Amino acid sequence: MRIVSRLKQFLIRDRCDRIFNRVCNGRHPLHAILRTLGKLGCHQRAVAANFMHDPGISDDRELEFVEFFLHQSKGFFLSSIFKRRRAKRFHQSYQDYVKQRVQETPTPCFAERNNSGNVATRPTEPLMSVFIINGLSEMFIWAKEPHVARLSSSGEFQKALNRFRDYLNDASSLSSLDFVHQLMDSTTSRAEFLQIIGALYEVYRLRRDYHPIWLTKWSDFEPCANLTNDDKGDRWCHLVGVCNEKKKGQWVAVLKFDPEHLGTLYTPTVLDTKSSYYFPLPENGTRQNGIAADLRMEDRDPAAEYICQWPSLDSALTDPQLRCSRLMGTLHNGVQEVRRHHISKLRQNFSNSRLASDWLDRVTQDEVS
Amino acid sequence: MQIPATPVFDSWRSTVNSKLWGFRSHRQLQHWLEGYDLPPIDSYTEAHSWLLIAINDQPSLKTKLIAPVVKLLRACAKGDLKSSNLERLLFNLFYLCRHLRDAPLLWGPLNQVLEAEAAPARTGWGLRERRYHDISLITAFRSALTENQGDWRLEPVWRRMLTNQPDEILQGTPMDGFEGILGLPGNPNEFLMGWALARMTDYLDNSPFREEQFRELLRMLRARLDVQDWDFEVLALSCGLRRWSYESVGDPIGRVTIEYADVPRVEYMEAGKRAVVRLPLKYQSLASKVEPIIRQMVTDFQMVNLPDEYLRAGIQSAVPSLTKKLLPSSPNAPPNDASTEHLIASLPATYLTSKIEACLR
Repeated sequence: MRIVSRLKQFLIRDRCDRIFNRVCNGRHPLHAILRTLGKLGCHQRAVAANFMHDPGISDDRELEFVEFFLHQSKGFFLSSIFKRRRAKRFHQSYQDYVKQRVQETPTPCFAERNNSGNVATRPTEPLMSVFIINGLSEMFIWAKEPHVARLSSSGEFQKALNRFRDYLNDASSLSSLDFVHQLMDSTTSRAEFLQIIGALYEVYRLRRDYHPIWLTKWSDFEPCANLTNDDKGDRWCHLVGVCNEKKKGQWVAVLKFDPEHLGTLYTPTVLDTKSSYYFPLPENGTRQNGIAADLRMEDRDPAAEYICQWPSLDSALTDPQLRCSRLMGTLHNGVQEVRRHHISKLRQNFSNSRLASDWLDRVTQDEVS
Repeated sequence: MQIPATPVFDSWRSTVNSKLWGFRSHRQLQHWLEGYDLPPIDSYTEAHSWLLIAINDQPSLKTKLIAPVVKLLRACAKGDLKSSNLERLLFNLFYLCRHLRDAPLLWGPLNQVLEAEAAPARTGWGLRERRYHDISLITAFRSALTENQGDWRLEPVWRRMLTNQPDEILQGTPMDGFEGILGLPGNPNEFLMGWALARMTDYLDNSPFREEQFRELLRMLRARLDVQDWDFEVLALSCGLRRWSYESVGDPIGRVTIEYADVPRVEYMEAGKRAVVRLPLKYQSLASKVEPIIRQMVTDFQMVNLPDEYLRAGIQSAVPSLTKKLLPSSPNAPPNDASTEHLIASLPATYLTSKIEACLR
């Protein structure tokens, strides 16, 4: 009997039953690909599981994504006999989709009608986001481009441009380490530098689209808000599911927003991010907000998460004294351990929802197989 | 709770290590530079950054990267690169080249790309017109050239950039010119760098952060070149750095103290690097006009180490003649002839410029 049940389990595992939480048949374009993807490594496995189980993708959005993938894969089917190559090609398409349709477009697809089911309930309390300043190293180069000075006549913008006159022509994140640290190390120059960044970013974001901003409720952040240890910045990142590996020495700042000053908020889905640390909101009948996986796996309620189009930094409050920190590179747990821990937390949170429990059972089956 | 290490990046680096073997390594490199299969850590760090972090502590990996980079550059020069993410590929390729700093292997292919860009038939990629994230690809290409110079052929281009004359092909700001000079092979001498610093003080003159920025340039210079024998105070005076920068290099003005005393002739004394010039009292009323000239002469003298008598005589002859021009002419004073007038009037300038031109050559 044990052999039969194990065989049944094997057969079930090998049949990709769901895509975007909907039962599918073997003719779905992603059917075999996702199973193969899941065997390529722990991060690809996380992505595959998200694709199979994320309940936030509408039929229309699924169609849009599949059409994108098939269009990109034109002429590719000669190699379709090689499963691993197919799965890798899928992964590339996925990365291209997020980059072209979500991140680097003035009209990200999470803001389109076919994602209206993910419009989140606007909270009544402030929201926060962890802003990695060194992530703007390309903006520092951009500030020296000849056409940039003509983009705005604002005195603040022109003054901000001066700050980068002597910046090396080096777009790598390594080159920004000393430069940013020099300016962020003292609280006096820090405040001025944050203003400079704000002034530049106001124009930069109109030239270079980048979405979404990821947000968390201030009340979820508050237990970490007043940490005094050196790696508090790392803790902030881990709380909201941001990996900080190889970011030692980079600076982060907490941005605080009044939700009224933000655009429409959405519950994120697998098609809105390339991160393998993203975990879908369980199927539970509502899409009020996402739930971020805590990379430190602490015994506390996970934080809510939202996405929206990047707002102006003018609407953000920062605290140069208390809410800026240099990352120490404190490591976090592996993606599969984080997912298992997150599932256990979700079981507690959704213990009253049968839908959510069944969903978590299905996901668990895939996580442990 | 002990948090175990997550080897996400290390796993990726192992993959890089294994995939850079073989004749198809350039295709794999192209794949990464186009933004695919990078470490799943964030979505804003570009491929060249990840590769640089990977080779940071693994010299053997750096060596492996050079060959596929050269292949891609040659393909770029020939117009053979095929990519649906061309701007991203080139952006990352050029910034990667910057850090590889291997002039013997990269200078040739980079020059081929430059020649293609400069060709009248526009056989290049039109790097000036292409942008990635609103940054011109010529900016990225310039960065690659700066750190991989195999000879001094671009030196005139960097010098023109330093005087705010962007190159027709390479464009560039004075800061790019400064980086270019700094990147010249065999290391530029102190006079060329002094001149470059002076141009940077011109460029930074109206920046609210100029002092801090100038200090950063000095720090960059000291980290990059062997400057322990350089006299920055002398360079400040002789190369014409702006006065606000003097504090960062020492006390150039204080090197030459000019006094007025009841003496019949010009006197000159040295104490270490400091010099004292004593002038007869009759020249005190013209201090503001003659002192800068004398400081310049003393500075030049200190640089070339001529005998004291030469300087004393030089000042003695220059100052009375200049003061003749500045004061109402005395009926008993013999007139200067035209050539002497011209020589006297231009003496400090020609002496200074001829000295600097000779040093720059």
